Amino acid sequence: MNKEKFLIFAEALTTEDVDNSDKTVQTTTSLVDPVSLLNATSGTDGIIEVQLKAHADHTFGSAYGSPSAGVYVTINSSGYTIGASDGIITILTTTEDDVNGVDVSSTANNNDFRINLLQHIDGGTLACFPASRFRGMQTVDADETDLYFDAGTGDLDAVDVIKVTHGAGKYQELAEMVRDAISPSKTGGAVEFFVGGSTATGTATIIDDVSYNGNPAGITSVDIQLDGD
Amino acid sequence: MKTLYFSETSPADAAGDAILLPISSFLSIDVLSATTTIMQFKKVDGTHDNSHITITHPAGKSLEVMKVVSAAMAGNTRSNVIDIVELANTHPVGGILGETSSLITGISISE
Repeated sequence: MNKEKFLIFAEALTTEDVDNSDKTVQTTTSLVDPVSLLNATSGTDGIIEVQLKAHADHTFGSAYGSPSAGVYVTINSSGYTIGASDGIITILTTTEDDVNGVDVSSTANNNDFRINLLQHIDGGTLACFPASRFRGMQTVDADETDLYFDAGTGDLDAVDVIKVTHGAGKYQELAEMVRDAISPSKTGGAVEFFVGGSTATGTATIIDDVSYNGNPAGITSVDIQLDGD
Repeated sequence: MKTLYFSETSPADAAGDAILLPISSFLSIDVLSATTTIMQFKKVDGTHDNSHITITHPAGKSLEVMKVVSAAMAGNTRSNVIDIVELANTHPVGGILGETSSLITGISISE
C-alpha cells in the first residue's frame, strides 16, 4: 500500500553585514524576524555565526592566530554574548577573554561584522505540507511559479503559497518535479523539495541547497507566504 | 482511518491533556523559533480555524522534527492510532539523521 508524502520547503538562510563603531552589534529583522528569536545560546547552539573582517586596528585573541587584513574571521561562540531577546551581540575584549575575544577598532568603518544564520528559526521560512493538501500550481512569469496548499490557519477560503524561482521556461520541469514528489510511494515520509542553504560566501560556514530529484527545474529559491503572516 | 495521538502528560486525566486527530485533518508544519515547531490541523470544532500542537525540541532541529514526524505519520500501524511523540522519538529516521536522543522533548496542545 502506497503512503503519503510530506513536502518540505525552506527559504535561503540569511546573512547580514553590519559596519559598526564598537563591539556591540545590533542585528536586524533582515537576519531574523523578530530579532528576539535570538537568545543567549544562539551562538553555542549553532543558530548563528559571527564574523569580523580582520583589520590592522584589531587585536585578536590567541585562538585566531594572525589573520590577514580583509579576511572574515569567525569569532568563536565563547568570544561573544547575545542579549536574551534584543538581538544584540557583544564581542568580548581580549582583556575579558584573551583566547576568544577581539579588540575592535575605535574607527567605525574598520569594524565590518557579518552574521550568518545557520538554521531556520523564523516562522514562515521553513514549512512542511502533506501532498494531499496540494491545490495546484500556476505560472507567475517565465521563472516564477506559485504552488498552492490549503492554509495551515484552517481558513477554508485561504491558501499558503510557495513562490518558486526556477530556470526560465522550466514550468513543465517543475510540474513534473511536483507530480513525482506528491505521488504516494511505498515508504512515504518527508520529501525535501527545496531547502535553501546559506547565502554567505568565503570563510563562512557554507550550507548547500537541498533539492528534490536532481532539481531538473533549476530551482534557485523559494518564498514561503503563509496565510495570516 | 489513521489517527494521530498527542498527550502532554501520562496518564492523560485532565481537560486538554491529550487529543486524537485524524491524519486527514493534518494541514502543515511550520517553524516557530529555534526550539519550537508547530503542527496544524483542521479545527476540531469544525470552525474555520486550526487546532495545533506546539512541539518543543533542541535548538535548531525544526527540519529534523519535520522529517521524523512525517516518517511517523507515514508509518504502519496495527491499531490505526499513532502516538506521534513516542514513534517520532524512536523512528529509524532519527538514527539516519544522527540523532542520539529524543528530538521531541515536550508538546503543548491547543484545541
